[in-house]
Amino acid sequence: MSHVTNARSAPRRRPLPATLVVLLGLFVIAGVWLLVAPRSKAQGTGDNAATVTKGRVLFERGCSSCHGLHGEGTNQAPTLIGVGAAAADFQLTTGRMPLPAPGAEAERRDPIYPPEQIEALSAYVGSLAPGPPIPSIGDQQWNDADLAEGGELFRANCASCHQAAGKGGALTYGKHAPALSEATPVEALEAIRTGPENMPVFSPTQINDDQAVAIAKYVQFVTNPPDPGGAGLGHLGPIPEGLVIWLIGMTGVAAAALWIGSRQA
Amino acid sequence: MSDSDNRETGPDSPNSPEGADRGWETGGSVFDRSKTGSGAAATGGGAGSGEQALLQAGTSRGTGRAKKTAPVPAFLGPYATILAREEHPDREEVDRRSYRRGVRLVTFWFALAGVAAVAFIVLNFAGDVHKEYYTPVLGICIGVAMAGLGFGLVVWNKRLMPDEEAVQERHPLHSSPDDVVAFEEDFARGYQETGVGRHKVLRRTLLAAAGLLGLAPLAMIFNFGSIPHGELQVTRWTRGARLATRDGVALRLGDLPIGGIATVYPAIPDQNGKFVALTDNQTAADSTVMLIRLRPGEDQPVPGRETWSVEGHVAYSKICTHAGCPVGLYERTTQHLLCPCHQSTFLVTQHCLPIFGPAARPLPQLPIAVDADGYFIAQSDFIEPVGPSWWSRT
Repeated sequence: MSHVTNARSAPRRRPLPATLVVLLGLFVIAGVWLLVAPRSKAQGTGDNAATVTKGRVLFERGCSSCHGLHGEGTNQAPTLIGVGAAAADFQLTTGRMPLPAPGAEAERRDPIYPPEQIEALSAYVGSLAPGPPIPSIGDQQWNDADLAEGGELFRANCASCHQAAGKGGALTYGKHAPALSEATPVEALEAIRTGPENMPVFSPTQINDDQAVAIAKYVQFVTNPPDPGGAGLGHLGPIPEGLVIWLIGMTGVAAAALWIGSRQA
Repeated sequence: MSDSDNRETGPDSPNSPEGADRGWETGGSVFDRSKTGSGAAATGGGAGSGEQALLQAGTSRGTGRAKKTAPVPAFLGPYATILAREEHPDREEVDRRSYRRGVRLVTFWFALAGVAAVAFIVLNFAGDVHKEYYTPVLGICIGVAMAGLGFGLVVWNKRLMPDEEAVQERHPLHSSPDDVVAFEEDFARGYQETGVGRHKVLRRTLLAAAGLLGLAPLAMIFNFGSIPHGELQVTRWTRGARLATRDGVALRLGDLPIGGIATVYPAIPDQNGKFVALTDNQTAADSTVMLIRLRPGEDQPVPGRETWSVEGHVAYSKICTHAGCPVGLYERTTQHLLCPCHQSTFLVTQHCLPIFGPAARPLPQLPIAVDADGYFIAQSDFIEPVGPSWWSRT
């Protein structure tokens, strides 16, 4: 059979040139793109005034319909004057802004803007009036942060809404405190300092920067804890674990017992 | 007992009606048997409809023994008997009409339920969620649908199904005489063997010990302590006490940003004049306070409390007036304080008025001021008791 096919397709090298052509085409396109494409890194690190200008253009195009042409706010959205770059960066990196639809609360989703545009927008919002800047965490600061202290502060200040394990919880009238499992340390710091939506604001006089980093470290730990026992089952505690044991474990045991019984009958 | 035993004893049981036995013997499902019945009834004239079969069966039952050759739908038997009563010259016609009316009525209720269900589904998608009518009309639709189903089923039962009074004998609950005698003998022998009857000392000491042990829990009533009098009316807050965090840091004006909240405890000067925060459990149980900074002008104090806040800072007891949980969930845009235990919701801008949930009273407000050093201080204790109500709260 194969012999016949081979004999019939005499010019059998034909597919190879076609593949080569496609590959070559791809390489050419990739090369052109590399030459033409904008360098996000280079633009991001450009001078601040240029970034702010770029942010203002983006703002007028994408945000001003609700927040006002100069971020002064409208009856649909709050003013952004004085909220600081941290607030803008938090809202944009967590995808809460731009708001997909009005509702009780903005939900976390994939960011709409690419990082360099978020940087520009945050710089512009931060330039409107003094406000909390985008926090940065040094490696030394992160390593020195006291996990136990962070946990204590978290339980004292955050756990009432976000729950002791950072799983979030219900608030009034359809709102809820979100789960923190996806929050990066920087986002956690930004939330502490800016109080997104209904969250209270915590100033550096209440919780200093080292303490805030400790809280962020605790959030990272508690939402993604090591699971030496295997699957964490959502880290919801003994109830789902018991459920699994009863539904799967005990069913298996019962099935095994039935099987043994049927074998002996 | 095997399966065949059951089959043999079944027909001999005195309570089973003959018709039922015959019906089961014809085999097949209930529906099959009813079809057979209708086929037999068709000979009596008219189309072979279900009601015809029913009437025919009833007539045959009423006039005498059920015909063994023409299987009767046994489960309709008693109803057929009722139909067969010859009180009206055209009894059959009357019953047939009544039956048809019943069928129409049931159909009507089921149709109504279906229409209401469809209306619910349509309104769920087509209705305007934000309009006043939305939720009530949804509720009415689902209510009508369920009521229609219910009425239909009840009418079906009342009008179309046999009105049968069934009596089910109870199983005897008493033991057999042999068992009773055996138990009495066992008990008497056991009593003899213990020797309770013979040993007077044993009997009396046993009764005394058990009686005293029964009294022991009553002694614990006195462990509750004395009835509280003034303690529930007061907390550790006094005039001049500073508002300190759990770490013992007294808060100053400007420490809280707008939209900020801090849980604070009374800090009272010790012998050396140094302010010491009281964060022990005894104090925290009734003196825990939330200090919240509102936007300027956002607070709407009730008359007489205009001077209880400082620059938008207000202080309220953290102990819920419902069940004493810590009310810690603060929403800074809606100004709600939510209690995590039972969802009591307090409106911060209106002296923490309860707007939702089981709490009946506002959270008590602590009058605050700022001293010469810029520290927040209490003007006095709360003017009312904090925490849940109790029987003699004034």
